[in-house]
Amino acid sequence: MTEDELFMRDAVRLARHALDHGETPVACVFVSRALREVVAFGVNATSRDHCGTAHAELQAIRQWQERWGGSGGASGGTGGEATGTGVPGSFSDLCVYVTVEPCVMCASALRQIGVSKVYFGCANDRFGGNGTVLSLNSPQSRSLGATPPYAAVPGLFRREAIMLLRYFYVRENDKAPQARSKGNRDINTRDFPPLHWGRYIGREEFGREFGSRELHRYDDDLDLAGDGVADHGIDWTLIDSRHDRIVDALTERLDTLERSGRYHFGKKRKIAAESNIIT
Amino acid sequence: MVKKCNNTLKIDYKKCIVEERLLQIVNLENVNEADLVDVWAIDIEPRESRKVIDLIRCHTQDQDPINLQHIKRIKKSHDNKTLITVVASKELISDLSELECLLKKEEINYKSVIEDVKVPRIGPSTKELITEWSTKYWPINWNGNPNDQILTSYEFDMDLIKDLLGRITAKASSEQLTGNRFPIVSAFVDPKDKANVLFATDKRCNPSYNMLDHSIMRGIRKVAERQKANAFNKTFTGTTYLCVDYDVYTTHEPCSMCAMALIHSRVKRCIFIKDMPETGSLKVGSGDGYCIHSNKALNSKYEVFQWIGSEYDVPKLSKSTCT
Repeated sequence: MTEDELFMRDAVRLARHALDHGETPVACVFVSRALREVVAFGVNATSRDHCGTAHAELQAIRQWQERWGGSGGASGGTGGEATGTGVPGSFSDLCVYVTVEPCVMCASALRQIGVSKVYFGCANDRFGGNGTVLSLNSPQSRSLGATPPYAAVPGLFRREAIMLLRYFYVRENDKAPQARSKGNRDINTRDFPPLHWGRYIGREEFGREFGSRELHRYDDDLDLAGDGVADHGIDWTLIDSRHDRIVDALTERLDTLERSGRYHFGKKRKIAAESNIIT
Repeated sequence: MVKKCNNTLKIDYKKCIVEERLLQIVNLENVNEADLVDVWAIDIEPRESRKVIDLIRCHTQDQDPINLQHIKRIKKSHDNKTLITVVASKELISDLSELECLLKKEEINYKSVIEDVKVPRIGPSTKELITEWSTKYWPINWNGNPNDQILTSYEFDMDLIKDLLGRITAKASSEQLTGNRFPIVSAFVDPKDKANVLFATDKRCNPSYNMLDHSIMRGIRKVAERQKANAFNKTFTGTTYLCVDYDVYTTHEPCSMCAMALIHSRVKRCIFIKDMPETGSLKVGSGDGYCIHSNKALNSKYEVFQWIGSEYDVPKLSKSTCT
């Protein structure tokens, strides 16, 4: 299993945790590309917070700010300009692993803080901001000040992400005052819509990401793991078991990282920013 | 329907301006390009039409989330012998068994259900397009430009609007005086609790906040906190779910993040003062032309107006600032 897959597995576990707490099962982890370690995570909390904007990505940004931002403030007072140059603790060092494509709001937020890359599981058909409805991350999108574009790569644990959403919508239906017909309660575990890779990444980029042997998947809109594989290519134990410890486990990892002193934001970043000015 | 003559406000329907001050921000490209919705139609004998019309009146017309008043309900079939009748949208009746159940209950004799009928969600804005759309999609009535009707139906409390725009402008100026480099202010008005307006300022330069704490994002959070605090307060009469039907007033045209946040929060209306030609996301000419509040693909909408009078002098921002 690749490191990318391991990070996305953490996000999927968190999403399952969200489902078990009555939230939309969407979650993410932020990873420092330099350290290859999780530096923040977020879980959808729209229900708990009575707030339509408490999406996983924004929760993670907030957590990241609280833990690493210190009194320096992630804003750095620049408001819109990307900071740092890929050093640990800078925005451009962040890579996001999120189970569902960021919505337009989150895609815009991720661009405004200046992350370098987003991996997402499945597309967000209604609100997707990384290619499905709009492409806030693309170089063609110019309405976000001087922020650099970022790459968005779909597909990792896509079917697991879709299944969690299906679990959620069946529960929601059952709660609705006018329950829909019973037929809807049988969750479809077999059929998955094609993944239109071309909407999100170029063919070459796909090859670099997943290897040239997989290019037929790009050409035929196929999942990375899928049809013809046992269990429809789905890791059922990942999504069908509760992950009650995942929040604690990730928090412990962040605590350990903080104690190690290998990852800073506050003062270190300021120095980095100043040295940027000199050069 | 609100009749044009009953509306005491001065509305320029051509330019879409209310009281010479509020410019309706809408993506007109959307209006002149048919947005099709799936409907259920049935093939019936002409003598059944009365019963079917009764069914529509009693069971579907008023309940349907899609207003179908602009389409003719009945058209002749190709062989001219039977009538094809639109019963309801597929948003009202989601599956075939539900439709069949209703038809059976109302004792309608029909030859078949026609599944693939699509009609325009909203009628076209000009009479010329009626003929084109009627041939291409489905026969349509001309009830005037649908946007005239939309404009007429909107409610404007001009005194309240002026008061709030004045207050956010004053707050923005005082933010600027106290050193906030992002003097942007928004006001959130709960339709069920108009007296308790929530104001929010841009906090991105404040060390305890982050660079995404734009005034609209903070306002939405404040509304959520107020609701949470009043969750068990029986005397609280305000809205208890998101910002449903809220009016939002803001000094500068929102960026894509904030504009989308307003969709997630289900607000009814946003009125802004200063447009942001580079970073705005509501006006057709702003930024990438997303028109987020009237983007067909996003399938959720709120009304947007820009105050075009010179009464409110909001602080100038650098062009590349996302608000």
